Order: sequence, then C-alpha cells, then structure tokens
Amino acid sequence: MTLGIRPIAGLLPVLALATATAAQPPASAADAVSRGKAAFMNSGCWACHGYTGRGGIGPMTGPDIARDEITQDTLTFIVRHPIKLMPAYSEKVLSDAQIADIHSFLAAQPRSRSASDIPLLARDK
Amino acid sequence: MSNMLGRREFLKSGAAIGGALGIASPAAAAAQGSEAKQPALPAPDLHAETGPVDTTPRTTIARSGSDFMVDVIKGLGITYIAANPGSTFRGLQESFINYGGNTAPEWLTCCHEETSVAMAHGYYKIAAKPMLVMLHGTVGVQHASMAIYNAYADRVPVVMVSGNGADANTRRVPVEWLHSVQDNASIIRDFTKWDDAPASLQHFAESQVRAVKVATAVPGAPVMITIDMDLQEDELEPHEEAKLRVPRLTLDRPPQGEIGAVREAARLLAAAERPVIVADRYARTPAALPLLVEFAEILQAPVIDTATRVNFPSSHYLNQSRRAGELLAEADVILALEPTDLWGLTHRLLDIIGKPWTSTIAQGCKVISIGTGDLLIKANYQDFQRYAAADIAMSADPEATMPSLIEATRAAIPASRRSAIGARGRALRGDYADMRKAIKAAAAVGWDLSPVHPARLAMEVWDQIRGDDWSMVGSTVATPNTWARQLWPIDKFYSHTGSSGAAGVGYGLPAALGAAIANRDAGRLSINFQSDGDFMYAPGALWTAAHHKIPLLTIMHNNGGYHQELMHLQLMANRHDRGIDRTHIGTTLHGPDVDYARIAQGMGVYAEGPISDPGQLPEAIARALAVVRKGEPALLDVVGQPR
Repeated sequence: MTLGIRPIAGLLPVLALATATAAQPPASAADAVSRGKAAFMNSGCWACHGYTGRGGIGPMTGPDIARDEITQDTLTFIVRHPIKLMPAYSEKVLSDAQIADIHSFLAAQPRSRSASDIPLLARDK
Repeated sequence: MSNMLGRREFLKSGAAIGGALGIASPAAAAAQGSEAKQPALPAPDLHAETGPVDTTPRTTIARSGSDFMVDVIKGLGITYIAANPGSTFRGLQESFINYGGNTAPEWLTCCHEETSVAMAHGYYKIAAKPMLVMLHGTVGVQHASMAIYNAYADRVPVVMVSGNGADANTRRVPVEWLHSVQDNASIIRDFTKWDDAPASLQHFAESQVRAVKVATAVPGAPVMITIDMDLQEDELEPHEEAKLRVPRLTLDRPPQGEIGAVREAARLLAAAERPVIVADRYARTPAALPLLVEFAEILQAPVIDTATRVNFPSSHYLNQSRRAGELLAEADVILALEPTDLWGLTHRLLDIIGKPWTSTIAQGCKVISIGTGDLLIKANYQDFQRYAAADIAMSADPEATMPSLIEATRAAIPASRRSAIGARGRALRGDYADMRKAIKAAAAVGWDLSPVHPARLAMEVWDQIRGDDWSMVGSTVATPNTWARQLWPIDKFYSHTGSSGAAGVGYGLPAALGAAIANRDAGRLSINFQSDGDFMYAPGALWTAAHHKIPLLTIMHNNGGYHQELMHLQLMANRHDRGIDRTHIGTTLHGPDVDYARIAQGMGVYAEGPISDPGQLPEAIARALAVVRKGEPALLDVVGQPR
C-alpha cells in the first residue's frame, strides 16, 4: 500500500472511487476537483484532515473540513489566518486559485452518514 | 579466571597472604615484570608456611553465589524475568533456568533490552507487581535506557538486575573489559529511583529486597542492582552460606494528605458552583475507581480522565473528559489528582511564532493539587513540567487520600447546598448524553472511507469482543486507541494501560506484550492498536510473543510513517514560507512500503494484510481473534487514514 505525500498516485483510485459516488460535476468543475485533489495532497492538508478532509482525532489533528457550511471564503480565511496549531499558508505556497480548487474537491466528497444509520454506532448507548 | 588462579584459589594461596602483608609473592613479582620493585625484606618461605598449593584448575563447584541470588529473588514473589542474554549475568541466568527450575520466575526471551524493560512496564500496569528485568552490563543498560526513562516518567516500578565485571583481575579480555564499568548505573541514575552494586552476597540479599521495596513505594519508579560476575560465579561453601540471611520484604504504605489540608480542600469543593475533578495518574489499584465514583457523586462534579490511567468509568455520566476545555474554563474549583502537568492543565502555550501562552482558567478559580510529583524529582531530565502554583498543594498519594477526602467532603456539605448539587448532576446527565451523541457523530464522518477510518476500525473490533473480558494494551498514541477510549466502555482498571510516560517511541508493542502476559494469567483478552513507526523500533518483540505463546491481537494503524513528526515538519516549512511538498523526507516509511504481515509471519505470528477496505475487516478480525483465543498472538495490518 502506498500512501503519503510523495506517492499521490497510489491514492488516486481511492479518491476517484470516493468521488464517483457523489454527483458528477460538469467538465470544468471536474477539472477543479482534480486540481483540488492534487493541491490538497501536495499541500499536506491530508496529514491533519485525512485523505478526504474528514478530519482526525487526538493531538495535532484537524477537524472535518468537507462540510457544506465551510464556504470558499471561509476556507481561504482559515488557510491564511489559522488559529491554534494549523500552519499558515501564504499565497507564495498556496494560491487563492488553489484554495478554490481544494474547496471544489472537498465539496465533491460524499456526504457523511448519520451515526443513527450505522448499526455499529447506533447499537450501543 | 581463565588462565590464572581463581579468586578463591588466589586467596588461599600465598600470593594473597603475601599481598596482605605488603610482600610480593614470587608469582606476583613475576606478573609485575622486571620493573616490579622487590621487597626490602627477604621473601619468607611461603611454601614452608602453607604447605603444598594445589593449582590444578577445578572443573565443577557444587553451589555458587548465583544459586543464593535465585533463592533471594524467589522469595520476592516475582513471576517473570524479561531478558536478552548477556555474559555478565551468565552465572545468574544458569542458576535461574537450572537450579531455579525456570519457574517463578520464568525466563522470557527478549530480542532487545528496550523490549525487556517496556514489557516489565506494561506488565506492572495490569499485574500491579514487578517483572524482573536482567540487563547485560554497559551495552544492555544503554539499550534499555529509553524504556527505563519511559517507566520513570510514568512512575511505574521496574526492578532491574545487571551484570558487571568489577574485578579487573578476573575479567576476560577483550570483551569483558568492554562490558565492564566502574559505575554501571551512572547513565540511568537521573531517571531511576535507587541503585546499588553489592560487594557480598549478604549485601546482595539486603539490596535486592530493598530494591523491590523502594521501586514499589509510591511514587513507583525503576531501580537497578548491579551484580558482580565473581559474586555470581564463585563457589558458595556451606560454612559461608550458613551465615547468610535474607531479610523479610515489607512494602510501604502510600502517604495520605495532611488532614488539615484535606478538610480545607473539602470546604472549597463543597462550596463550589462549578467544581471539576481532573484525574491524571490517580488510579494505582482497581480500588481507585469506585472511590472516585463515590467522591464525584457526592459533589455531582464532572470528572476529566486524562487517560494516563483508567481513573473513572467512561460509561458514568460524570465522565465528561471530552468537554475538558469548556469545563476547566468555567470551573471555580479544580481538583487535580496526581497531575503530571498542572501548568498545562491550567494554561495553553501556542506553538506559533513567539510561543505565546495564557491562563485558560477563570480568574479566581481555586486549584487543589494532590500528588506525589515533588516526592520524586530530579534536576536533569525535565519530566517535572513547568511550575504551577496551586491554592492547596498536598504532597500525597490521591488514591490513599480519597477515603479521608470523601469523609471530609460529606461533612462539609451543608443541607442547604444539596438541592443545588442535585441540579448540577441533572444538568451533567444531559451534557453527557449530548457528549455521547457528538462522539458518535464524529465517528460516523469518515465511516466508509478507504483507507480505513480509525473510528471504524475501533468499532469493528469492538463488535467482536464486546462479550469478552478484554483489555486494551500498549500505547495510547495510535489513533484507533484514541477512538476506542471514546467509543468503548472504559469502565475497569484494566480497560486500557494508559500512557508510556515519556512518549519515548518503541514502547507500544513490548508494553502490550507485558500487559498481555498479565492479562493471559487473568484469563483476559488483550487488544493492541499499534502505530507503525513505533512498531519499527522493536519488531523483534513479535518473536517473543510467538515463542512464549502470548495471546495478543495487534492491529497495525499503518499510516506510512512518523506522522506527528511529518506534521511538525510541515509546521516548520510553512513558517519558513517554503511550501511543504518535501516534508516527507525523513518522516515517512514509503519506498518500499513495509509489509507488516510478512514481518509477523516471518517470526511465527499469524498475520493478514495490508487491509485498506473496511468491508474486509469483520472477517479478518474474526480469523485473527480465533488465533488469539487459542492462546497465540496475531497481527492485522490495517492501512488507515493518517490520524
């Protein structure tokens, strides 16, 4: 299994499978999603937020950022002016256009299920 | 003693007598060479004084000093010895396996001294008694040092015995010189509690008994006895043994808080509107949990369990650990039980340029601390953390203090406060229900992802062990462990084994093995969520698991590297405005990817993987658990989301 920043190619089938279940965007939007996926991986967003932006747990992790309520403007502001542990990204290393692409990539992710719809989570109190 | 007289023979010979008199014997003079100064007085006729000296080397002895050492150690109730072999303790090892019958204690073969110590560390956390660790002189102690520091920082007793060749006259050349040292414990003295290097067997008996007493006295910590090779290997004659005495082991009771301070703390807590209890390394024994439940219920106060130990059942509505930030910010009284970092509990330092820090608690909030941190503090290593003031500070064991704190708090609550306290409890029940929903909602977010989301992994395992008496062992660092601690009912003292102490990497797998041995003896199932980077420090521990048939399910959280260090590097790269596309250099384990299943199989452990599809988990977990339930180790390599 090949994962991480450098071997991005190893993730492409996985991400393609994940995005295939979401609504198919038009061609130009699909390009943005593709560019966003590359920017997301190359910029290391995956390290704290997971390979599809769904977030992590524990120290030095980031929240779920593939949520509808995070607009492109919000995402840009957070990337430029993060709070707490998140490293700030200058325009030199991540342009506004790339952030827009990342937002497209995150928006294309399948919506998460409710815990009540997952038997293993719904069973116990 | 290979080419000269043995020490005892030497002592019996004229050489020793001559030396004692300050007179060189012919043999000694010859050994010193031509430049040796001849005595002023004529040499006496030693042959005439002592009679014929038999210098024919003896080939066997009936009983050695190491046999007596085994007798001493067998009297200490120690069940296991963890060791990688080393010639500086060859005499004692032989006595253990033959004279001692390799039972009570039983020898556990380890492939690295770091593994030996971490196994003892993990074992103590479940068994609540020490596992003996044998260490080769110098190099073995050096190998063990990081694991010793972990145990020290975690305040866990580890009793170590190390060999050494103290007498330059009897060391074999050249290796025994390389493995001998004037002061064997010097490199670990900064992070051990006590050490000694006995000069006689009587001295050994007293020091070995003292070692167990000191190590287990609260606060617990590692200790080491260095045993001379000659002391182990020389003959023990009946008339000498008749004089030896083994002292009785008496264990210390832990210190309670001063009663005046306990009553003052009780008054503050009874009057508080928003009290919060923080339990850090509070629980030493299973009795600690019901005591803290009783105390928290008296106050109807939320408890934050930091997970360095299992302190408070997660199924109890007063366990509000996930709400730590907001609760501490609003608290008017905070009670910290065995805090490892009181400053960090009440402050926040941001890892940004300038490292600004601020208090995170409300102005006027009273802080009460009960802990043993100041009872074992040394200067060099900074495990004592940043200084923080407390309004009431008790140098005492909080578990031992809890009964008197309960009594004092009951007495301090006036009837007029009971209604408000009851209302607080009702509100906390609602908060608890909301907290549980939030945890499940967070777990659902990445449920269907491939590579596997750690919350999904934790719950797939839970689904198959919910009917077992189980224990989550190893390190708390692996992300599925973090999820399991939130999603599983962590209600028993042994539900998980807590932190490593000093966050020294390489702890997880061997500590899990040690804990699994204790769980095996208690008829309990052991589960270890294992970080991949940590695994790579001491993979040989898997061979120990297979060889000794230690039932343990190890589930790799394979995220391809030292992920936290990757994030640190990303932080630096962005701070320097250079982009982070090269931060994989030196932080990831790709090219080649590590095949953990094949590593395990190569050491005789059942293994499957890599598994990236969560749909494959149920059957793979079932197959692995079947192996573990038969009494053997198994490993699943699960490729996961990074955190």
